[in-house]
Amino acid sequence: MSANTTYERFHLYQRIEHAILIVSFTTLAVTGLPQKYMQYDISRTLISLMGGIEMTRQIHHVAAVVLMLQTVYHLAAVGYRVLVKRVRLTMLPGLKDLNDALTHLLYNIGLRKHMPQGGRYTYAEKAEYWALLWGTVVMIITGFMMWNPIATASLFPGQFIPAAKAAHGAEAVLAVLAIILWHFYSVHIQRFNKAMFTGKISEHEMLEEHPLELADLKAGAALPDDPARIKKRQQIYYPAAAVLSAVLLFGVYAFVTFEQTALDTIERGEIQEAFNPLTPTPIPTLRPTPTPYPLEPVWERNIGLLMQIRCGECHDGSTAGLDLNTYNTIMEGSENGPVIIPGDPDGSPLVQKMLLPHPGKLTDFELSVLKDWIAAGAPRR
Amino acid sequence: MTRKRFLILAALGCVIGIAAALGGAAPGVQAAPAPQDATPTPEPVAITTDRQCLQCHTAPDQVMTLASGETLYLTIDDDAYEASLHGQEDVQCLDCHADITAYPHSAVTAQTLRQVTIQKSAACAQCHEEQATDQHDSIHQAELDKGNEDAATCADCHNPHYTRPPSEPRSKIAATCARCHSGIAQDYRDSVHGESLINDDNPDVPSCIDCHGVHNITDPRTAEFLLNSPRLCADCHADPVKMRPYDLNTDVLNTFVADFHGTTYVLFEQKSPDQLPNTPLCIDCHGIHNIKSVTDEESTVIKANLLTTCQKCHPGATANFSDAWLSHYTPSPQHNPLVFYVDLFYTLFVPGVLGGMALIVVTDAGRRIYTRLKSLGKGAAK
Repeated sequence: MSANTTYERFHLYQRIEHAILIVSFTTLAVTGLPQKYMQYDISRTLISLMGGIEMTRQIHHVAAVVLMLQTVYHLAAVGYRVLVKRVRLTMLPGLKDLNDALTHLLYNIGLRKHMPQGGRYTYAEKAEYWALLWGTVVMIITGFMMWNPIATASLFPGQFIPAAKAAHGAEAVLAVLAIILWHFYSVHIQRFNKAMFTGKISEHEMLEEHPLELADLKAGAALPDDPARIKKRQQIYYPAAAVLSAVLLFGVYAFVTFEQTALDTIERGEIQEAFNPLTPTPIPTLRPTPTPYPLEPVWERNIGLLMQIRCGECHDGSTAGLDLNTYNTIMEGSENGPVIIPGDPDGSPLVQKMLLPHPGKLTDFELSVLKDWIAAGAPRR
Repeated sequence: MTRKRFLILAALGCVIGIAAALGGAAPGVQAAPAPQDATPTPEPVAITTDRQCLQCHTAPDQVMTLASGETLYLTIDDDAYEASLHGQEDVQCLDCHADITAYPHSAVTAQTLRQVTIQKSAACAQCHEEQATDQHDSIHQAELDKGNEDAATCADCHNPHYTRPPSEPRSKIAATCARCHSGIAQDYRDSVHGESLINDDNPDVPSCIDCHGVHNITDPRTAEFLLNSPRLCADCHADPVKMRPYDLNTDVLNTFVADFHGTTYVLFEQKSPDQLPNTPLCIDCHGIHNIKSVTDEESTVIKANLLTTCQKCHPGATANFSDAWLSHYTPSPQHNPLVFYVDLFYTLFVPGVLGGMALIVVTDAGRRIYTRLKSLGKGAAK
């Protein structure tokens, strides 16, 4: 065989699966991690760019459904290869893989002369595959619990839901960091491995990374099975896989539509009527007044004060020549003559004036006191 | 006339007035002079001093009947006025009643008592510009502008003639708001906050204005107000100094935000500050004006009542469901142990796995660089 000989490493379907996984995984990480780390500005910016938290969750859910559908497909495809084509179970982990990991480490630090010899899948690839599978199962289970908390709480303690949230987030961190550290290093930095895109691997690369696989191939391990037997197995597998896939697909459907967790609209805020006035309506009201005492009809301390308060402000001599502040001046009268006629209240101009429109007003009681005083002869004291 | 003399006279006038009111000599109510009915029309007299006003308006039973049939009381208790904040500041009648320039007075245009209050409140802005500006931004003014005359204006809360410091004692605030919002005020009085304020005059608990503001009271039904409400609660409840006497958890906001509901709230608000998220805020579980202590059997958030509270939004929720909420606790072996141990597991598991990977990756890279350098060295030696 020439140096240009290549081997098929990944079938087209596997490469498509990988491409879809890149999209769904990345989408889940980009929409999920900012929710976990929402306290950071970068997370908030990202969520904002994705159209807000509700849109971010929608996208996360769609990507989750894609990943679940892909998982169903993957199980069917693996089943086909294992049960129908009877390929060797090259992905199964074993003690050799642990040993290989240790050997790799010891080789790195110079305690072993050779790298471990890889089969079709090296220990590093198996670790990644099974980690991804484990992670996906954890994410699907914990994701279901968060997506359907009412159903979860009807079977398990309520605390399972926040616990699922904790596990979902931590597992996500592990998955993303493992991809960056392990996957990116192994296939992009160590050597840019194009096999997942071209599907092919050169004999040189085979010798370097998968020497045991190369030896097996050269020994004829990968010869195709008898077509007739494959056909026979297909006849059994197809209906079985179809039923199983249908069940799983229904599971995905149920996952998404299991429950309506919360009402879309609820009555918010204060539901009491805001305006609910006390009665009577609060306005300035007359205040209660204490018990009065009888007024003596004399000028000093009684009528004099009444006149000063009610009338004296204007009638201080300046208005109509009338000064009602002192006994002498009130008795003198105005420029038009006397205003008080002792003994004749109704004939006194001051009383008559009060019955006509006039800026200042006496109350009925005050007027009656004034009239009593005049009737009594308008005494000074 | 000196001020002192005037005061004495005014006081005596009151005595006389009081004597008149209950003396029974002439109990009839004397309507305020209505110039339009007067014959002959008197010469208008310019009114320039308070003393002129008080010559009539300290008389008891000064009333007039408005077009609505309501009675407008026009008597001023001069003693009480002098003792009020305005009286102490020597505010004159005509400072506010600037529309009164002469006797007979110009006709009253207000048809109802409400209109009188609303019209007269316009005068307050002359001196209280800041408060008036705030009030103009308020829901009350917005309602007034819409033609809702029930909405409060200055004089509804501050009686202009007998003004006292409006927040002394603080319990007076709730009583003032209760004049229009009596139902809500009753809820407040029965709440842990209101009880403590009214029974103990506790200065720590919020009165109405601590959450709603004073003059610039905004519509509390808006998304903006509701979205801000957790911060209102947190102003006190996340403050260790304020909460110390009550031994209350101050991690309430952090734990809320860390949970699904709170995360949604924060992220939603950031993108849509004008919409309400479909997620509960403090008030949706704890109540608003009727917030009870968590030691009160009527509390909406104690274990016995929590499921009912959850069911407001999650009608299908069953018995275990409310345990999904961590009750503002940070997970610990005592509170929410399952969450605590899941966290603990991953705290160990994640670095364990990544550390193992890193060990191999780093040593592998080192080995490769070493090998490369060695072969370069050999090439150079040749």
